[in-house]
Amino acid sequence: MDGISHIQPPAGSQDVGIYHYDGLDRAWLARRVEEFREQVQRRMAGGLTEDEFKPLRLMNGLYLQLHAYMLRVAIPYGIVSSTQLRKMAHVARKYDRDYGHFTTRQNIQFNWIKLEQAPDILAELAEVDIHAIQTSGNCIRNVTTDQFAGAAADEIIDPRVYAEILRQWSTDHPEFLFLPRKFKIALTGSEKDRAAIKLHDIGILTTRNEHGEPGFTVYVGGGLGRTPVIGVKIRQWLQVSDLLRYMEAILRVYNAAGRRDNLYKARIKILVRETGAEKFAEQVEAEFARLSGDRFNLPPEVVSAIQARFGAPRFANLPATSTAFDRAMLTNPAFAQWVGTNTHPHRMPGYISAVISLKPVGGIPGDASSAQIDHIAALADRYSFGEARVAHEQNVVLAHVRLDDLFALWQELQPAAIDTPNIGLITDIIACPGLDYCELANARSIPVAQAISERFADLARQHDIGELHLNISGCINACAHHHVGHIGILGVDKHGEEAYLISLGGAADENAALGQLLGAAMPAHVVPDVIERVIAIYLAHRTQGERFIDSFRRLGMAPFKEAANAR
Amino acid sequence: MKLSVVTANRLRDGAILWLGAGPAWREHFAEAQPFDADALVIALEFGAREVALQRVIGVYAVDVEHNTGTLSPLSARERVRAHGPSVRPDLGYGQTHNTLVEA
Repeated sequence: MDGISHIQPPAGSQDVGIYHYDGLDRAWLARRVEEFREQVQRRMAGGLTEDEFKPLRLMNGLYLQLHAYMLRVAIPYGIVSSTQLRKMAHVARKYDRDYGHFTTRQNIQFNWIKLEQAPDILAELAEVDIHAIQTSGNCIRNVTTDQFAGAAADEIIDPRVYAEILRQWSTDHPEFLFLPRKFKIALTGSEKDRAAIKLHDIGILTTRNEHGEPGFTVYVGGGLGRTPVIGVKIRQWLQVSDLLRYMEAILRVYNAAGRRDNLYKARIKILVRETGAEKFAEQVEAEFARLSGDRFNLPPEVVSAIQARFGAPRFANLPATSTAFDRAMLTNPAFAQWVGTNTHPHRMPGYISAVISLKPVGGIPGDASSAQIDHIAALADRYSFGEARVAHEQNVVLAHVRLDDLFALWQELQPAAIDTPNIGLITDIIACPGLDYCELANARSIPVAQAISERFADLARQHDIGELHLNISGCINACAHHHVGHIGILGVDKHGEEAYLISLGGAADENAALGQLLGAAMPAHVVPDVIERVIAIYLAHRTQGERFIDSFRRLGMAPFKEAANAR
Repeated sequence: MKLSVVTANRLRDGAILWLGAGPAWREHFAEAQPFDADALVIALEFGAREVALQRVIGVYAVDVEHNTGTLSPLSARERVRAHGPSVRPDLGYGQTHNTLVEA
């Protein structure tokens, strides 16, 4: 890509529900690619040392991991077109080792990237309006949201629009590119938290006030890692037009007062804790009052203009029920089982959202081959207006499927082995890459996930156990959110060997909670047995309709601990 | 006697390298040269010069032991680096390449 005149709009319909770039966006992105190309050339020629180059490559999503460079590509708020998916599959095939890894921040990572090819990859991604900018570094990262955005039946506002506004506000923000530490924002479009907002530096929950007007409740200081904290509410009600002004106020307070002397105390959660939530909220309110309403106001016409840049699926006027769907449900138990776990209600009559599991039994959570990504792109075209979403649970969603077509879609999932009916069940494991790939990890997480998945492979048993979120991180940085898994597993280094701590009782939803430690660290091969014993206690003591997390909250840790420690 | 090997990543593609006889960087861990404490100092000095020449980055020593006749890193982390992801052993550098590499 050597000039703006060569930049063409990406292939694909303008109806696709992504934010559609214009010439200005593409020119900016092209300049960023060329800037990075020059930086890479200077590095390769010795004009930049590694210390000088590292912050530059990180701002472009390029890490040096355990085996090679890793490129983290942003999928803005998890929404991706089929054209963009095909480009990702192409990158996996041409530049990587034929697969990608979908992450808990709704991004995709390529694990075997060559530095010398990174600018070409970014140029290819820019052809379809995607990039890796601000997927690393001490800046505001990819804003995440509900994977059912714009489709969910319980939605108050479409969170994609506000996530995009936040993306534009935070990208290349002159004050916020060198924050004390990385900064993550998540928001939901309904009062149901499907984006784990209380685990983010800022969490935004959409709600209505007493007059029925939509607005936001704002949480700050959530985060996991070494010091897990559930975010605290600092604003019960924020009107929509004040969103940017309030975000600016929070970031200014953090940027000015956040610690830069200690990496482990630099996140906003530490500032909120040390300042006190009430006092921190007062500081934000004071800054909010100082900021110009004119400059930061978000008027309805601006929101409408952003909304208009999103493609709008042309939904058909359909009845709420489907005879074909009902017949398939009655005659095909496997399909009915899949529908029971892998679908979500849609706001439009006759439509439904389908979740494609990237968690086959014994598979690597979140990994997808280039062939699978291409297949999902084709299914998105055929069944969901050319669009898909990446869930923070490391699965993929086709948001707008006709009920009439759901059975046909399900049949087409099978050849690609992406039809596992396990969403929200014990084998829908969230796992980070762990020591198999990650420079920071202390222990492997994927093999433990595989062992548990294989142990609980029996679908009838999984469905009997019911909703259970199991998260495995390979180190205290907690990329797999182990603190908030109903069952959380943390890999640690115990005298040079891998060992695992298990916690119970975490939750990532609107009732977010941190798990409690079950006992001492154990070797990997013991973990599935201990999980078995924990599950047995749940099954023995649950009441009618009680989920694992409900039983844990009622029973407390004692019976589980006793069972886990039994020999 | 404590033994170590020297490792780095190649600048241009990030590939894991092991310092072998020559001295030359190799992609296959089996070709890594073990060093005692005195020899390790010299090997790390060679590595530092290679960093200055922009060929490699992140040079450091890895403790190893003889295990049934072959060298093996002591730490789990370095075993994964030496042999590739345990969940995708087909992807490790040493599994697909066994050639002398000019860094």
